[in-house]
Amino acid sequence: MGIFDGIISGFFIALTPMNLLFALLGALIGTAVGVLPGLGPAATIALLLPITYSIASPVAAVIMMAGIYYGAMYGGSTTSILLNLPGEAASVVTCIDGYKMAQKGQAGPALGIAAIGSFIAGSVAVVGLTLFAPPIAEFALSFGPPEKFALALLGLLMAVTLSGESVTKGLIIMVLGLLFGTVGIDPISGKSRFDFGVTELQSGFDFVTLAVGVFGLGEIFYNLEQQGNVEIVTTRVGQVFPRMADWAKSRMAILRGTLIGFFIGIIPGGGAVISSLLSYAVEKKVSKHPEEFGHGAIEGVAGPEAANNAASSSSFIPLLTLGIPGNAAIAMIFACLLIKGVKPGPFLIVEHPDVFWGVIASMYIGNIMLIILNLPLVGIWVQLLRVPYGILAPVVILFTAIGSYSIANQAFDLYALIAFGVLGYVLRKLKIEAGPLPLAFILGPMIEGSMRQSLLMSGGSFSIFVTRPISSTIVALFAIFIVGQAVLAIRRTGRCSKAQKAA
Amino acid sequence: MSKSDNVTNLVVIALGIFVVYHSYYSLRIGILISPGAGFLPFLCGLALVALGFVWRLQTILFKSPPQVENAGDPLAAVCEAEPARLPGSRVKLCLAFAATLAYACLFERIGFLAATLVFMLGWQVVVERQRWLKAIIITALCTAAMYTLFRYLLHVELPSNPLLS
Repeated sequence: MGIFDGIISGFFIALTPMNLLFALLGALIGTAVGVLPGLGPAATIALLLPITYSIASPVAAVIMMAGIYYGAMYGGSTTSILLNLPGEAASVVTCIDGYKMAQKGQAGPALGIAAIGSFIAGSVAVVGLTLFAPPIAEFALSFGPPEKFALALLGLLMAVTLSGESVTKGLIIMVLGLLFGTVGIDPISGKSRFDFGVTELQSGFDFVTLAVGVFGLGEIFYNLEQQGNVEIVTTRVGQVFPRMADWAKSRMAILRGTLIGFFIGIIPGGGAVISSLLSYAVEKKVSKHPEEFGHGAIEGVAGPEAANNAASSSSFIPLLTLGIPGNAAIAMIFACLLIKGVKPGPFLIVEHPDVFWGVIASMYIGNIMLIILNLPLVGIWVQLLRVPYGILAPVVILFTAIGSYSIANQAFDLYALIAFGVLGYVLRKLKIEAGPLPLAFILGPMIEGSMRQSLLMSGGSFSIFVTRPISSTIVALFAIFIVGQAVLAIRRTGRCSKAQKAA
Repeated sequence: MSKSDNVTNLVVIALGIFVVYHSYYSLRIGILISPGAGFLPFLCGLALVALGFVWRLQTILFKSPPQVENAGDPLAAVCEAEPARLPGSRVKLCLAFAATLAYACLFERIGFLAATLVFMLGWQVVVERQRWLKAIIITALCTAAMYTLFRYLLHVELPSNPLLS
């Protein structure tokens, strides 16, 4: 099936009433999650994962989850601009100039340009996804166990090193994720690992329990310590459609943000947060008036918002074509596909063209739904902040508990959930990025399986990873990446030492 | 680096040593042509020990992160902003944790409905210090909504009270 035929069939699938309903649900939940501070898209998708068991169609389930992910990027800008309160991590940068604009009485144009920039970037990125994904998937069909191993490890390491502040801590979390993935019966030898006599552990930890615990429950525990009384906005939103002058200032920022977001989103670990930060830095650098940044420059809103939306769409490329989730939210969508019996990767386009093209086509529709939901209805979304945390927190805990219990109907999962919740809380307290944990957990079995298969193929020699053309290229990229990171770390260390001596 | 880093990296090293020991002696690492069940955990354990030592080294070398370079940068200021902890929040957190643990213990023993009522009411009265009437209304509405959603809309099998069933 060609790209054109594929996308046409995708639209037929995405435009069925049921799939349109799930796209709308995803867009609504995503916008709500983006508006509400505390629960990010990863946590929400994790919370809703058990519900996907009740959704018969895998296409509908993934359409909804994808809608939540890119919908959160739209919604995140609203509270950043109006309340200086980022609804999710990728909107942190929008606070800087967006809130300043709101203070100057320009909340409307700021919200408008954020929504329009998001729409343009999201739509362009989906076109990119449509064009780039099929050839990458076709290329990946030739991958054997050594290539899969090298690629998964490279993706994981890139995700770890790019997503957090400290590479060391990120690597520790990655290793922990791999270890959690080994709990249970080894599929090759049949030996039970790390069960310590507990029967329930022989089947291993469930991804949903881990993800819901670390991101959902951990987030709630953390927020209970930090949550203050959010003041309801009194800023007048006014006219949300930007003026011509605003548009003239923002159009290049939107274009640059779209390109930055698209390419950063493809890289594992890149994602929406890094792309919005990078876009802000680029806009400040290229601006003729960099002194306006931090005081209400509209380019400082348009660029990052375009970047985070483009990244959220393009981060589907490694998932749908290589089966490599690049960030925690995409790992949840990976799990959703597995729950529905669909294995993400190069065979997805051949074995499940309905899922592949249906989800891509739904993103075009989802972007249109989101601009309608976000521009005229912005006032309604802000009212969501009136829901007291004292009600929201226990309800989310109930959701996590029932969701985890419903997977295997055993109370053990509730205790595992609480343990993962505590782990998530501790990681937040220690300022350690938890993202690599679900990524490593979900990729762990694939890494272990392909490594053991590769060693079996080569008669126990690691040379198999450097003698095959594709795997050797990936290993070379791996080496370049490691050396690059080491050089950066040494430079940073040097700067730190100088700064400490100066202090 | 904070004081908690000092303790945490020691925990990581200890965990790594345990994983290495357990993988080598209990799970068996096998040979390269046929790696055993303990092969990957063994490598993970070694990695934890090595990374724990690197972290320890970083903790010793850099006692506090320098803030000099980012002074005056709005981007850095926003990214590094740390939300303030509310007074009494530690107690609230402990109570919330205890309530969640109690819910897990009661869930199968007294059934979904009774456990959820106890949990919600306990949360509203003890954690949130709401008035009884308001707490009862919130509890009843939330429990009914959750039961309807999971039992009737999503068809999830929820444990019922053993006495009633």
